[in-house]
Amino acid sequence: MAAPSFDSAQAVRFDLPRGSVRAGSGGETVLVVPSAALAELARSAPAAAAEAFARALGSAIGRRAVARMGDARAASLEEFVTQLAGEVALAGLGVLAIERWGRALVVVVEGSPLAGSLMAPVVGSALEAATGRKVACALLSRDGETTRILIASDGAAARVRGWIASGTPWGDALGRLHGGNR
Amino acid sequence: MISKLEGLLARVRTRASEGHDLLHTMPVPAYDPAASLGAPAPPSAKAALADSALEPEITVDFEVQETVIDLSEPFDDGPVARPLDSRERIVASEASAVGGPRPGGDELLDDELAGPPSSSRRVIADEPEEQLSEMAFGAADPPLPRHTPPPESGRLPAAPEADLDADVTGVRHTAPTVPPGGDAMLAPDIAPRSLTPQVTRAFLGASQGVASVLGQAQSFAPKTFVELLDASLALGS
Repeated sequence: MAAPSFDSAQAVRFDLPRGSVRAGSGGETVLVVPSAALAELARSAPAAAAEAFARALGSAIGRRAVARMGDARAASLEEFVTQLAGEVALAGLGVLAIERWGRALVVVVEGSPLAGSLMAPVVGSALEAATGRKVACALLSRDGETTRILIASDGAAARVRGWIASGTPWGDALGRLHGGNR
Repeated sequence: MISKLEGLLARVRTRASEGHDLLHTMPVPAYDPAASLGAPAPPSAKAALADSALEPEITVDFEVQETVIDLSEPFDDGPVARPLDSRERIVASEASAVGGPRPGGDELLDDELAGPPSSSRRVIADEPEEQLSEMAFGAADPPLPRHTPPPESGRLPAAPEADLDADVTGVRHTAPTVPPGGDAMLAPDIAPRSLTPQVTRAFLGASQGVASVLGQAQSFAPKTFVELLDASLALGS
């Protein structure tokens, strides 16, 4: 079985006579904006508005990834991650990877210009758009260039956020989420 | 009366001179209690010399009373209890010093003949016979020292200075032990031996219940991404 690959040919098309940029097979119009402008918008806008902006951004990434996979529900773990990470990279949001901690799904993004508080709704909405599942996200850590986001149910994500806020290391929080005593 | 005293003085001089000569020339004879006590005790030599030098004319009017004690008869009450005059004490001390019987004398004599104990640190003197033979014929061999002589103290003499050659070092080269003939020519003691390990193993007895299995190992291996997503969504529910 050949390793899945991401085909980046014609992924982004610049129509200079018309002054437009299009991405994906559907020809969705996109903008090329400075990341500092988006960061300033996220800081100045209300939290709900910033999260709404992030979720809209993530949904577009998820849809383009599903368009590459065909049947996303039948896609293997490697195939899904490859196409989703390709679309995240085309958007300029960093390098996406998946970590499996027991039964817990953790998405790791490195080198993202967005803050961690914005990357969590981006990833969550991308997965919802790709799989059709309702997911919740909990920011586990943001150290340097690496952001870890737990994908779980609403209740589980809320408990993990509470444990981390009380000082529990995120690794121990994942253990407690599995029913352990840690 | 004077003539009688002069005769007595002459007797004293004669006996004093005889006693002085006997003390210097003759060995001490065996003690005869009867004879000693029967004869008058000689005066001391010092008194005799003083008398002979000065020769005073002394007028003494007394009579000499001599007491004779027969020592051959045994005493019933042990030692002499009554006071003795000076001559009796002298005779009695001579008797005890020269040859008289001593209490427990036989046992003491046996101890002296037995020699010193083996643990004695005193130097054992040579036997009188050996001394006499050495005086007569000379010592045949020098006697061995009875004790280890103490070590000599003081400075040690310096070693003679060697004539060192600057070109000569302490490195010494040996002749090749392996002849050019090959291994067959090797001596048995220098032939290469096959190395064998010295194994040390721990003795661990059979035991039960060392490990206990609390649950099955994690066997979750999702085949699709959605399967993993569903498992993660099911956590904590």
